[in-house]
Amino acid sequence: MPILTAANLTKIYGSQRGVQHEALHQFHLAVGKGEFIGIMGPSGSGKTTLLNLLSTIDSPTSGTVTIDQTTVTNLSRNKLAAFRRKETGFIFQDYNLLETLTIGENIMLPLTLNKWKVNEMKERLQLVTEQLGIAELVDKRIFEVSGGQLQRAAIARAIIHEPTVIYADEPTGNLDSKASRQVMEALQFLHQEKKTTTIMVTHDPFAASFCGRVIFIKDGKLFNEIHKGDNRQRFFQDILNVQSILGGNTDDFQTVRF
Amino acid sequence: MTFRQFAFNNVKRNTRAYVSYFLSCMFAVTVFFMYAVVIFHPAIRNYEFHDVVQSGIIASEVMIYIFSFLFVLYSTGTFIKSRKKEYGLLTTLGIKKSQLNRLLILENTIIGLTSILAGIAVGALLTKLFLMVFSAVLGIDDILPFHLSWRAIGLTVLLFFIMFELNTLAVVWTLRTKSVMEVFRGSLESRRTPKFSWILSTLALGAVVYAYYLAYTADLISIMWRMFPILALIIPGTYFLFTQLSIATTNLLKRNKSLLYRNLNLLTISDLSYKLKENARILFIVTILSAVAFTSSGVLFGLLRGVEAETLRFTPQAVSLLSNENAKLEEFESVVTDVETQFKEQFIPYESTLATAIRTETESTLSNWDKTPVLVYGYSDYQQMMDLKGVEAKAEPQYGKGILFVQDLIDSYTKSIPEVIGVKTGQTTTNLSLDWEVSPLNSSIGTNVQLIVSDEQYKQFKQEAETSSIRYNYVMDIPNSLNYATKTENVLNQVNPEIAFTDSQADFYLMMRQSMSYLFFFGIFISVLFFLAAGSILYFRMYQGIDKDLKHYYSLYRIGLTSKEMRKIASRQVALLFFLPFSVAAVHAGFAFKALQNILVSNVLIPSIFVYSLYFAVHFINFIIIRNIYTTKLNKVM
Ligand SMILES: Nc1ncnc2c1ncn2[C@@H]1O[C@H](COP(=O)(O)OP(=O)(O)OP(=O)(O)O)[C@@H](O)[C@H]1O
Ligand SMILES: [Mg+2]
Repeated sequence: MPILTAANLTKIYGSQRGVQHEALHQFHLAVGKGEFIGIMGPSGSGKTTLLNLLSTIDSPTSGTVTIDQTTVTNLSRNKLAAFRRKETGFIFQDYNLLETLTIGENIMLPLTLNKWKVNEMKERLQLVTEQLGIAELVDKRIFEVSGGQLQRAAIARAIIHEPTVIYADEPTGNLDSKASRQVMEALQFLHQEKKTTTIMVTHDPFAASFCGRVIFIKDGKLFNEIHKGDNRQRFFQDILNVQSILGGNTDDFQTVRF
Repeated sequence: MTFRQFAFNNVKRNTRAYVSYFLSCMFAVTVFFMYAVVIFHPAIRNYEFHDVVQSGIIASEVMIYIFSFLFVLYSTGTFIKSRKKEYGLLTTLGIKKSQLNRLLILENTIIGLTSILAGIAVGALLTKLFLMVFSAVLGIDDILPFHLSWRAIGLTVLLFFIMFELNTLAVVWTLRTKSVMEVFRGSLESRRTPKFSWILSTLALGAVVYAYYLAYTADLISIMWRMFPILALIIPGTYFLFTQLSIATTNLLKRNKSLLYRNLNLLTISDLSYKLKENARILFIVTILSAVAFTSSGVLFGLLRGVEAETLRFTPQAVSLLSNENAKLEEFESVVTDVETQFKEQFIPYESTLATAIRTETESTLSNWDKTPVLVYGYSDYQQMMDLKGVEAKAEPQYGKGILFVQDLIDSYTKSIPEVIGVKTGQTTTNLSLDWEVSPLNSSIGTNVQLIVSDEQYKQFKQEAETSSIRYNYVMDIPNSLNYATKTENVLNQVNPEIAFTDSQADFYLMMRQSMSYLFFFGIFISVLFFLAAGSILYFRMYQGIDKDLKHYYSLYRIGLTSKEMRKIASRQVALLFFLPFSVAAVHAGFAFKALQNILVSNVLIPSIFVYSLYFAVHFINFIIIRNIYTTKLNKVM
């Protein structure tokens, strides 16, 4: 029983009369409960578009998305927002943290929106920040901490309300290899501990190798799909292979990380 | 592509930043120009204003210029800030410092010139509109015909050209003192936690409260020298109220975690402290502008309303005709008959009575009261005049006593009234002991003072007095006399001044109203300008900051903020930016009204409440419109 299903998703950008661009073409996807899935593909292939549709941030031109038996593509914008804040968590390449708040306040934001009690919020904050190793940063401001720490704060915010699905769009895109590893290990830990369904868009084969399944898109259509066996190293190699067939550039030094 | 083309294209492409900057500049020009059009209007220029009014008019123009300067400087500041990244980029790409300066100067000159032209056009249009509305609303037709003078245009162009160029130089200079890295980092500056100082906050509060105290306790004498200290305290006080105390308050709010973390408060409050910090100077300008607008329109409205009260106070009788020294009784009677006939023809309702009086002089050891001309009435005549007005007369004074009627003036004059006064009739002088009272009779040329004596005493005086000192006073009462003011005035103008001296409520009222009308026009004009300025500045502020807000709310939208909640947060913040300066200005003006109340006799409470409600209504509508525009814009990313 998949927790998330996308059927016939098509997204066409541009106005009726202006230049139109079909970023996604009749896309199908089913994500099982507790799955950790990666989405890869060349730049401009429609990954972010797909993720935005799956996560209800954007609405498709046609097709449906169903999450936990709710057909979210039928909901009004206000209902969607309410749905998002309860059922989903987000991690963005640009962190999407608010400058006006401290790290701790940023992490607690979803809880304040969901009208939690102050004590419970604080307890939860303590718990999550300790899990992610950023407990001592909660009173710092955004510009006072590093990119890796910011991304872990963003992860903390994404999971603090225990969402049904976590969406991540290139969470390691702005980070160096060490920070990437920390972030991915944090995600993996959460996935193993909480069994939260996670959908991640990435360019980085190393990050993708943490997933259980990777799907490849090209020109808005499914290109290929590979599963992790029991060997992560082989999975990583498979990803690299598909990438080279796709024509995406692969850097040799990416293998150095192992 | 030449450098000039590059600068031109730059303006063309960065539309949002440029448009708001351009509009702000244009708006400053518009306000200044509207005022210049009025003061350079031939009718105004040739009108003989009181010196005080004249300097007030010029002072307002100087003030508008200074505020325009501050506003333009501020707008340039935000404009440059929003583009610091671009300048940083250009510098790292190897643009020469001199080239960057030339780019800046060229850009600013283009914007400056176009905004001067546009500002003059819009200003002309709005002035025309204002004159039309003013005439229509107040029923004073054609107080000023529409006229654009070259002087107004010339002055505006000159002063604003100088302003924009100075402004550009200031910007070039500040950019020069910063390194490239600092320019780059400029966009990060806003992220720092807003700082404030407790000392400055306390001082600001102290200054404002002390200024309030000075205004509250001021009187006619002390207000003269208190005026300056009050302004010197209130203006910087208000400034620091917004830059320091407002931040201090939000920081205190932030400490209360259970309040802060409740639902939308976290977003509202933490964003608010930034908005307050960023807008502190704007809020300050808006507050001062609004306070000036409230105070001046309150005062003027009070004065205008006061005209009727003052008329009744200084001319208690509707019409009075006092015979002249050389006029014969028959001549005087024919004048009276003429007046009566004309009143009847014009359907002016009236009742009348004729009194006689002796014009003579007083004798007193007090030099103020020696040889003062006085009109002596017998009690019966006085009683008749009072009956006519429907006012109860005082009891008849005993023989040897008198009631002195003096003009309703300030205390110091009435304080020195002697207890006994000598009255000369012919060769004899009779000493009378005195009561005194504010006069219920009209004053007349040369005799502000009247004396009422018993009928017996009067008979005796009349025998002693020379016949040339006998005067006839024909007095009329007209119900609602001010409704017939113009007609009455016309009739009385035909009376031969050789025979009778006329005094009437109509005359006083029309004269007062005439002399008030330009003053009133100016007051309302300035108030409306300032008030519009205040509202628009807030609008530009929202417009300039909207890119940042769009980003902010998009971030929130992605993690599930509903557009309803966005509206709630944005409304609260916009409301605060709108009504915080309004309330502070209202309190400022309130104390100004109180100081005014201490000086004036007429009540300023009603006019001030009226003024507040009117401005509040306009401000509220303004708020609703701007909030809707703002939230609709934000809703695009939701
Ligand atoms: N808002 C938009 N309006 C019009 N076209 C868009 C919009 N967003 C994306 N596109 C186009 O749709 C296509 C897919 O874009 P998308 O952002 O999904 O790509 P992506 O796979 O995420 O690329 P990248 O790896 O570079 O992030 C691109 O050709 C892009 O130009
Ligand atoms: Mg993308």
